[in-house]
Amino acid sequence: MNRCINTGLGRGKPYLNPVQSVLFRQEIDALIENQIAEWNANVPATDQHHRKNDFNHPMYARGLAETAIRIRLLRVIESKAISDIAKLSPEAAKIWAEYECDEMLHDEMFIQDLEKAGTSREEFLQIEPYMSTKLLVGFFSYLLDHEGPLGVVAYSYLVEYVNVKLEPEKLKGLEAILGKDKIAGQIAHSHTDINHDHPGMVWGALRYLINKEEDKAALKKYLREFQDLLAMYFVEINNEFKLEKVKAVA
Amino acid sequence: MLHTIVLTNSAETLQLPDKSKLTDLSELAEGVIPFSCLSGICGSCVIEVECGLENLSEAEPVERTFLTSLGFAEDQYRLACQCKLFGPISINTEP
Ligand code: FES
Ligand SMILES: [Fe+2]
Repeated sequence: MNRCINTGLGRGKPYLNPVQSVLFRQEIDALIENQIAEWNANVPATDQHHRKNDFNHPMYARGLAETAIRIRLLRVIESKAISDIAKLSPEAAKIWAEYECDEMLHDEMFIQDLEKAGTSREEFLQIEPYMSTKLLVGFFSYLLDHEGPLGVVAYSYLVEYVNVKLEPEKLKGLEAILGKDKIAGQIAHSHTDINHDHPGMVWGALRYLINKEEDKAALKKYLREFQDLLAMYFVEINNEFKLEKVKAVA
Repeated sequence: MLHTIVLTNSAETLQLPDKSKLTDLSELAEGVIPFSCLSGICGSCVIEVECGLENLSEAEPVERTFLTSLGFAEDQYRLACQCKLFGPISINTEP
């Protein structure tokens, strides 16, 4: 008899074999593509980088601050996730640890650009996170306590996929408005996502956390829930800067 | 896209998707490449690439240095856990 469990000692084969993993990833990517289309159609204030003539500087700076804050808050809960992931799959935990190593100080890149946008570090430290960000972090806590780490990793897959897909175009727009030097931190960040293949890396971890059909369904549901939380953030920031009349996002 | 991996020492042929880690072979045939650390530091996954070396991701200097210290200085030796697959290859898993 061995009463010691939850140590990932079995190192069993992943539920999805290599080919099934590729196919399921394609399915998830298609789903995210749909979400992006839906996002563009319904979420306000996502086109700032195209608004050369009425670019809202205060809103841009506040957005950078929130990104840095979000990284700071999520790195804490994402670090806690490693212990839960390691109980399920040491392979996934290893990849997740490498990913977190990459991401851990990325707040600095945004703070660097924030300073160039006119917000000092001292001012930055006085900014309280938006409610939507607090809810996102709280949701991660809930997930770890009650549903497991799959959702936490799924969030990073969504964010990385979207970043790699959309960030280069967004940065091109910002460069035309602000100049390259002002967005150097964001450019560096985007390069890391692409050059280190962050979507591939996070998928590598996700794959080991999918152990049954229900997990596949749960992953799809998480992506939807994160979309709703991120949309809430855009509504909040837009309301604060009164850029557009904002309807509640369903 | 699937790539073919010929195991010359066991005369087996397996397939993995593009960009797979070579150690994923163990999911298709248990124990085919022994591994443990998956970080390029234990040396348990040394293979000899007989054909298609150019179809693997390039070795970082640290991998080369480690392989040399293990007595596998030539280019055809690789740590499977550090290789991503981009095309067909033939390997000897017991060099
Ligand atoms: S598994 Fe340890 S070096 Fe490859
Ligand atoms: Fe990233």
